[in-house]
Amino acid sequence: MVILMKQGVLAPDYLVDIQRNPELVNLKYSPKGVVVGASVTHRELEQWSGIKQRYVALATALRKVGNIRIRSVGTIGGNLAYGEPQCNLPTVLAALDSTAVISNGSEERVVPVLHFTKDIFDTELKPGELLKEIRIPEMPPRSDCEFIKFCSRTAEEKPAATVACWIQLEEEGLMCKAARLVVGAVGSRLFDCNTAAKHLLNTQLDDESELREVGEKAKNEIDPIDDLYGTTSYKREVCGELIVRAIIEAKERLIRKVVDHD
Amino acid sequence: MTEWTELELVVNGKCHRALVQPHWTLVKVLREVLGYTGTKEVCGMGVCGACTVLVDGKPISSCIELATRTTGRTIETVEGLASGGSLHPLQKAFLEKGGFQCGFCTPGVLMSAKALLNENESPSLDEIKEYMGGSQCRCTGYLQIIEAIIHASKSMGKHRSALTADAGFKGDSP
Repeated sequence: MVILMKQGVLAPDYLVDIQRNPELVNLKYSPKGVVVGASVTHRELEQWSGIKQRYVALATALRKVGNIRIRSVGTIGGNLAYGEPQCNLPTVLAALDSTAVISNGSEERVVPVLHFTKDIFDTELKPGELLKEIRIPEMPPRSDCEFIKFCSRTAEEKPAATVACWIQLEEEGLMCKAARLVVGAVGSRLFDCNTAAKHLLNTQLDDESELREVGEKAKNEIDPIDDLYGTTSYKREVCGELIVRAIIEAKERLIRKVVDHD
Repeated sequence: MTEWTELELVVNGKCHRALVQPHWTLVKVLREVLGYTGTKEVCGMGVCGACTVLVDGKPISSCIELATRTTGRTIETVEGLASGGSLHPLQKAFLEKGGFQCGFCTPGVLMSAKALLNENESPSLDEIKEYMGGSQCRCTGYLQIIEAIIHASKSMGKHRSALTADAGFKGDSP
């Protein structure tokens, strides 16, 4: 926002700093999951042991946001409320089935993070509303998530694509019981590749040709746009490949966890 | 009509009162109002790290931080590193290891390194690279900066000696 002010794009008459509002800096863990106040910074969340231990993909996504200085000041709520499609966090938060709690001061409503950004810089927030907190559900047993951020030019730039894959195995054995595939950064919003994800169910996720078919199907569920980071066809190809890699990485980490536990 | 507001800022332990416009950035106020010209503005977008100062011990990009948001907080700039006429161990290490050439990025690099060592007394090579990855230098090629940080950490008596055994990194010269 300050960059836009310096460039003369934004010239607000009034600016209210809400970052130190005590209601917005909650960061707490409960049996239902994690509640992250909108004013919690990326760095605070990144360093919180509850995230590092339980949500590896989210920890990865957090570390890849900007640089240490951006993460020391930038907040989780600010990241989402800005509505920029190339942000890391919405992709992985959506794959983790997280929800955003919106408040107008007297009432609250809950929106899935998957649907929070409607278009470029356009979110579910209406005038008079504030994003209060993000709720991340507890990771179900025998589940894991992988996040991949792909930058087509330099590491400092915005990504061409972000992909998050969440999978859960059956109570016994290695059969996939549930899956979510979310793609971000390629277009104006997040894309839930749920049709492709259904093809992972009741498989052991060990046949690479089947996984590549899932990647191919996912390409039809995204709507990329041409921009500086890639053409639509480039982004589709990249997403197809990233989805395969995300599934494999999530599965291998999950199997290691399951084997160690058993 | 131009709005002016009086701010109280604590910089390097010293209290200052400054008359500023609400939209002024911290780097502008530090340099042009308070005279702390060690901090440099380069990219103006929070990317390069040259403008890094510490606010409540955390590294921030002063070029995209409104000065009004830092009132009531402790601000540290490169001018505050030396103490009692003696250089900070980081400054000595950067001199010894050639951690700077033109010096333009150096204040920001030093402040980021200070924040790193405050947070992690004995960072590994990967931890140094990750933490310092947001500071850009066009002169040194970064190896000397990393060596200087390791050297400073050792001279502050805290570093694990195992670091010099990291593969692909020569560590201290004999």
